[in-house]
Amino acid sequence: MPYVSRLFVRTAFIFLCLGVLLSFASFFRPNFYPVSIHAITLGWITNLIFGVAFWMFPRGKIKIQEKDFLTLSSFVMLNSGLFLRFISEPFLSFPILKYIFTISSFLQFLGCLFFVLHILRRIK
Amino acid sequence: MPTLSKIFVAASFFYLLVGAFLGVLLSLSKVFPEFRFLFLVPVHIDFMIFGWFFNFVAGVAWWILPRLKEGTYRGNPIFTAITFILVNLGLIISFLSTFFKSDFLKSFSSLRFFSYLLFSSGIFIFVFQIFRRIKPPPIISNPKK
Repeated sequence: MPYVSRLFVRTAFIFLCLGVLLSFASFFRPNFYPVSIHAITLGWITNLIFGVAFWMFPRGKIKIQEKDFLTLSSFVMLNSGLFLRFISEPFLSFPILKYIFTISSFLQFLGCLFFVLHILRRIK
Repeated sequence: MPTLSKIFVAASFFYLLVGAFLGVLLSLSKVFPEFRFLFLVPVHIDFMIFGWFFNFVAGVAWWILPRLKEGTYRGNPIFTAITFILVNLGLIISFLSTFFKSDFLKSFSSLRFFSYLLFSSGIFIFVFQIFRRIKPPPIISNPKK
């Protein structure tokens, strides 16, 4: 399993645990609910799909580096975006966190975009 | 990768990007009241669940699950193509339903109900089709014996 895939898959399982904990937290603090949903859908499922897709999708004649730049950038953006979302979304009453929350959603979008740019060449 | 899987997977990445972009619009609307995109929440959810997760899983399952008839036949591709058409038509209608309230289906309150009919029928056909392929690998006799 390549290095980037290991990063994605390990992070996916960390987010799964976080998502379950946040789901419990959302019983007591409902403002944690959106974060718990995103921890499961983006943090767990999407990270897992990205990791396994990078590992298993056909390579053909494309030479793929162990630490592919696009995919590593995607990993950093997606997960830093998720981290920023966790520290900002439940506490949006603080003005500065509104901006951090907006930045986090852009980072998550860019993370997805970078991965798609890499994987599109390998859908064959 | 078979053609149908390529189509499913390419569509799934398209919906991931559009869904994530809708997520950006929603987060802007949540923070800045001048952005009014909160009506897109149901489309964001449909695009991510049916468009991204389902399309991806269906494409990879069609490609990778054990084949029928001693490893040559994946099943009837027409049914899988119908699944693709139904689910993706449902997604398009789900998107349109946020802009147009339907007069034609007034009793169902909106076109959204119709889109869910399409999702569910497409998904049932796919599950019926793929169920036969969830089986143990074929027994290969040892040539050395």
